[in-house]
Amino acid sequence: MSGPRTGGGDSSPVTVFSTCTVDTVGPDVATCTLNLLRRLGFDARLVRGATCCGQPAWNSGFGTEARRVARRTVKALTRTEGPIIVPSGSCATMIVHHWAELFSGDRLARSAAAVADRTEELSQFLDRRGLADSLPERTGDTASTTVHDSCHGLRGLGIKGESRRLLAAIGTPVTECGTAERCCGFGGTFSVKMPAVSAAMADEKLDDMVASGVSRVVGGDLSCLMQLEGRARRRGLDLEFRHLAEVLDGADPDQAATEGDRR
Amino acid sequence: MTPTVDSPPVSVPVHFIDRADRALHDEQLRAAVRHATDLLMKGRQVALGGLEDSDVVRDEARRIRSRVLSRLPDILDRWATNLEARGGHVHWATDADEAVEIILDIARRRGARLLVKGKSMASEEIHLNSALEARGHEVVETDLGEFIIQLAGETPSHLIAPAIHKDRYDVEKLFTADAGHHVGPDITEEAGYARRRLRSSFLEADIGISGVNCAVAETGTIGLVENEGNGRLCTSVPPVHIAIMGMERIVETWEDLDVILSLLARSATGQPLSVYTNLITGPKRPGELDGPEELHVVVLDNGRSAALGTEYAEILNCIRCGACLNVCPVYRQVGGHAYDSVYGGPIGAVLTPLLNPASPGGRELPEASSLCGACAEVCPVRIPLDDMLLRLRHRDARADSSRMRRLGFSAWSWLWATRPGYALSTAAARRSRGLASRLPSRGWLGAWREFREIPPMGRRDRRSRP
Amino acid sequence: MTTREQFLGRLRSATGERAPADTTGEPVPPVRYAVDRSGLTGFTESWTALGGTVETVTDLEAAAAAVEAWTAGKGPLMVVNHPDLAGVPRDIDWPDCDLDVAPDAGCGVVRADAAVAQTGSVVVSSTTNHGRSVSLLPLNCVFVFRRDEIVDDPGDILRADFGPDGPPSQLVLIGGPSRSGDIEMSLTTGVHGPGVVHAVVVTG
Repeated sequence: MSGPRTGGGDSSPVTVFSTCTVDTVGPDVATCTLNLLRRLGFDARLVRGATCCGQPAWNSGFGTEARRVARRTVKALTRTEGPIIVPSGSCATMIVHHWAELFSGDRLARSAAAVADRTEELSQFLDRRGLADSLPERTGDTASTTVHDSCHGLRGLGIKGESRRLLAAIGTPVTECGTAERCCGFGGTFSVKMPAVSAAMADEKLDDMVASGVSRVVGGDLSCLMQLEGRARRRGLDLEFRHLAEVLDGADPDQAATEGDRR
Repeated sequence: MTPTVDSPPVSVPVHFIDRADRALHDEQLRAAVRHATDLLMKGRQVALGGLEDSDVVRDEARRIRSRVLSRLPDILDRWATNLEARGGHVHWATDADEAVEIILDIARRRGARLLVKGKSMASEEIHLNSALEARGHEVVETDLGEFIIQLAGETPSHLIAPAIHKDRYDVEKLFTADAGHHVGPDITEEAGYARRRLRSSFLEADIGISGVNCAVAETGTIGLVENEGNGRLCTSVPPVHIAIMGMERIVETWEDLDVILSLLARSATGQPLSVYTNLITGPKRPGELDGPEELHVVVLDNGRSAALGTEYAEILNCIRCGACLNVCPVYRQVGGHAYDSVYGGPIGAVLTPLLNPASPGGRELPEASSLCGACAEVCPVRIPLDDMLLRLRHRDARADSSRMRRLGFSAWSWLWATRPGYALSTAAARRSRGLASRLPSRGWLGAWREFREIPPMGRRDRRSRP
Repeated sequence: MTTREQFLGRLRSATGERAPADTTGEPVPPVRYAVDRSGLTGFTESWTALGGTVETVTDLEAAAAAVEAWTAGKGPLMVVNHPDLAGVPRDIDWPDCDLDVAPDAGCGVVRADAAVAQTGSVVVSSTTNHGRSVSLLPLNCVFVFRRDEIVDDPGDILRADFGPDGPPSQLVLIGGPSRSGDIEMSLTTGVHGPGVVHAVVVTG
């Protein structure tokens, strides 16, 4: 992974690839990511013209369709500067590990490889550059918090301690659940192809969270959070689900997201 | 042996999703699977800690297994020559029918009435029991778990814990019906009944049948690991021993065997070694009072060679420890029978499409995964199971998907290949969330809403209270 | 029926085109364990953890007495005909007996070839014991061996040179009593093989 180890922003440029999940169901996550990076001193910009990494089709076995979409994203990201920061372990894994095969033989293969080399997941980016200490500590945030380790971030990128170190830096202790590393049951189209199994997988984690007495679940992938939250709401469970970027940005949950520069 | 408990025939649904649904409503099954797999995974972790660096040993095991695959014909050839020199007979079966024919021939020649069997997944693959029974031979499964499911008229639901789905009360009913008097539900009493009941079978049996965990080419040896002693009984007491061996279950040297054995029981049951590590080189020799007069090994291809030389070849490195089942969050919810294949869980979801591509399971089992990758993470020989599941999806997606699905992905790709198409559709999705969560819906949205709400966008209300 | 040539020929055509993967033929390093276990102490620790019991004696005479004491009241005694066990009184002398009487034994006495400290295994082979039934059929079993026959790791047995005759017809590593977890993962012993196992180690 390239990218200068600046320790602080120094107004160096970074690019945020918001991902289709964020754009579709949780645009605040992009806003929070941008705010956070800017507060840390980076010249953070949202990529313009990118759409999706292609994973939904790729994981369903539709390579041509996945490539068609991902080409748009490669082209857009190629025009950007600095590290590419993705607030999703899953999309980052797709870019870092699967684009080589997706673009094999394609004329964008070299561009895709260059983009992959610049890509980092958000918590990975912050942790690698030792930015945890630059995060403002938050007092009064007493929500009992646990972390869900998203599968692709955990097993594809080896992300585990990053989110915990970052949460510790802002004064949020983490209660570990025994099922933290178990899949939430989302799995892209798996969640709608096998909805009952998918929900059962979510249930086991939710039961564990409730039994552990936590009130807030933090994760690095909005798709997992959507799955867990969607199921928790159906079951009437009193749990709050937040993307890591939202927690680190620390904006008041009740305040409407208006400060960001949405496209 | 016919099932001794009369139960109405239950039809097995054709599709995984329906079998899974049935399993999801079976609380006893799910509790049993959770309990067993948790224990096995915990045991595995402790046992691997007994190695100085299990990652190093796993790398070595992968190298050993891959080396075998790259030279498999030569290694099998050498092994067979060595075993024949020790008086063993080697048979080569291209498919299940041939394997069954070979075994029936031996049984016929020996005038065998009763055959005792140790646990063997390869024998399940060739449906040996029903074939033998159809020809009038009696077959008794002797592994405690296999004996239980034979009495129940079922099939194994886990590679190493075949009766994982049965509890002591199920066993009480089955054993009481078999015994003609009350047995159980005390587990020690039930196990004691099995010992007495099966002991006479071992002593009377004309043929013992076993599987093979790992053969060794340099000496013509077959290795069989087990905990109960039934495997050792099957291979020692009856006058004839027939071992059924998947053609890839072999290493070159005893050094290699040492490495594989150091991982097998640790990954499977959390033991340093199984209670019995039986290493058999030929039938009994002159001067030995006991042991089989004849040793036959049936080497089974049955679709395996189709994977050789392909991107799926590494699946043949599998040592059948079952760790991928134990860690799989899908297997954990639905158990082994939902896969309706000899091999369930992640290994089954990859093997079934390769060994039996035309079967319904061959088509849909690769979908029975969230691609979380936990299976590949625990595999002792580091088979990239999740990558293979993905490749199988790519292999079959176009042929197997509905027209709607194909069109859906196509339309999606053209829309999201353009900036305005993407902007419009994501904006529409954001705005229509309220609508989507109220209107009746079908398709994937309906499937989502059957079990889940559509969470609110943005951070205005991120508590889950409805 | 498929012949060996046909069977292997098909495999050759399937693998033939592909360059052999990683066939460097480097020697396989020994398996290394987290904790070194050796000698009587190591064996005792491992074997008892598996549910076996151990006692030490100074000579063969004392071994015979120890075996006799341990086996008392455990049913007919079947003993392998090995010079080291000559002093052990017996009901069935193996292999100088009728095979049919073997199943009646309540207790077997075996001269084990070796033991493994790391895994708590005793090693029994059909060559030197001339039999399998003694350590297999009875519910109780005693293994007698000398302290200097305890090796460190399974590899010391598996990587041994078997000589020109190769390995015996059956070589078995036995780790404790027969066990099963097939009903509710609950551990039960003696489901098929011996359920009570004892090791008598001769230290002199």
